[in-house]
Amino acid sequence: MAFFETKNCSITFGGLKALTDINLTLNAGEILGVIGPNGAGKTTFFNLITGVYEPSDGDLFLEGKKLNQLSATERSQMGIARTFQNIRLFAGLTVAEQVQVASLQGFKAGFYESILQTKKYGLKVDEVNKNMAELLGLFDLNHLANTPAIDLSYGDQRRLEIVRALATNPKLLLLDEPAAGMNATEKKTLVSLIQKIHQEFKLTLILIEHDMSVVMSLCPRIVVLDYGVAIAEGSPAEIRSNPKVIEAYLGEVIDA
Amino acid sequence: MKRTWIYISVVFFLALFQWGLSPYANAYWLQIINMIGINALLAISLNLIMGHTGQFSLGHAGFMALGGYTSAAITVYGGSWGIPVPVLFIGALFLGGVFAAIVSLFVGIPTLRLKGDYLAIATLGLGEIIRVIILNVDFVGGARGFTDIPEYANFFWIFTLLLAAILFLSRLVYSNKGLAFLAVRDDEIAASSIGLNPVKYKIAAFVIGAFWAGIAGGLFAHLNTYLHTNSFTFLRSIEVVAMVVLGGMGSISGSLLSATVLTVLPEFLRVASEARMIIYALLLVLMMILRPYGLLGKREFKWMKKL
Repeated sequence: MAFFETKNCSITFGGLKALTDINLTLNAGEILGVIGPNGAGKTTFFNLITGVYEPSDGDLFLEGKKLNQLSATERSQMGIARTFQNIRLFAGLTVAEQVQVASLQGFKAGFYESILQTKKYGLKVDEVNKNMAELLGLFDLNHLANTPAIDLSYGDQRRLEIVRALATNPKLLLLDEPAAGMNATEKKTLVSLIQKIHQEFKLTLILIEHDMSVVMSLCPRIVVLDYGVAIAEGSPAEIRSNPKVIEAYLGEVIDA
Repeated sequence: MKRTWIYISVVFFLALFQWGLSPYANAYWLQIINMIGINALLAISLNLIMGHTGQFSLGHAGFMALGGYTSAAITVYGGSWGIPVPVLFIGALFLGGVFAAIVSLFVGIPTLRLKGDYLAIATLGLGEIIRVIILNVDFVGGARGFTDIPEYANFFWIFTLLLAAILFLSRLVYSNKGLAFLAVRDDEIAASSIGLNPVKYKIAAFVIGAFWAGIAGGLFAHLNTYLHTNSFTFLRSIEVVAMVVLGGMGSISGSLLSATVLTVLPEFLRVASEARMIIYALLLVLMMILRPYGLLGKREFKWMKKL
């Protein structure tokens, strides 16, 4: 059984077909890259998986369970986490608080325990904080823990979004342009970080990215979207030489 | 444990003031201090809905009326049941709060799917509906007003319950669970992406806010011994909204501060007679120009987060 699967998924907005018959199978532990020109439907594809949109047609499955009717909240509780292309951190919360609030699913202390501040509540808080410190340390954000998240640099905000997603303890992590706005050094660090969390948290990853060096070094398998249609699928080498992809997205190599 | 003793001694001093000193206090100022307590209770409960969870509600006077009339009906008609007065009074207040909370739950489930302006209009309508319904219920006085409510509320009860509300709300909002309210306020899509259900937290804030507004209404009823629906028009809701905005959205300390300022200010302005409300309005405008994020912004007094 495949870990994650979409069967003939389509999304239409009025007369516009944003995604057409997407068939995709992911095995546990895989890293899949999704590339394509702007407006190809990459982020719509993420919104389809995370439950922001319902498919107009077709079905989605995670570990054999059908996702179609589940809300974004329920899908997150099943282990699907994501980051956003246009960063969506909580403007009023500090770096530490973003991670604490994302740990709430595993935070079994109830409402009245928070009000009465029972012992159990205290222990839970300690546990969450320990976990948070580890995650922030991994991304080298520990020294910023008490800074309001909106005061971070763009690259730090992107990395904080990954930390927040990891704090929900996901199985399937979707990264929407994680390297956008980063310089070459930051990109290199990011690639090794993504490899590290992939190993350490036993994640299955789907990654949208425009930077080909990042995609090619991270993803053994790549899907190319164009006008909502998956026009090609294969290894980096196959994608690079696929004429359809070259025409739609990569562009021809010009001999100097 | 140390904190518990502090709270117990605060309550002890409140009792000491009530039964030791208040007979000698100026009745006029005592009444104003009591109104500060009730307004503060209203402001911090609305602050949970507006400031922390970001839902613009104009129905607070309605919930206050529900709590006030329910608890007054219990103490007036239940006076002959032979229940000791403090038990009857606290029980009535609690049931008034619960009734307001139940109504808010039934109204909240459909309306909290609305956003921003739409929610404001829906809650505005709700407040008026509650008022007009009460106006037509003869059982609680109808258009004549509800008279002969026993004078059970006093300085001690008002401020003890205010203390309880501050503890409750501060611990709720500044606990790990409470971060969820702030997350929902800041970004609902991101909140659901980390497994929080925005509608659930919005409804929770709405219901809890309505509960404490109901308690405030009950205290109001048993302080003035008389209720009329004219006290619960939407202008009352606006007044509470002004307190929350002026204090700083999302700051419990700010709500307490501005409830005090906005209750005392009209009294000081009595010297200006006819121009009083004009000056009051002008001062409000001026304060918002000088401090657009309210008196305290989102800041809290240091101790507020450690209650």
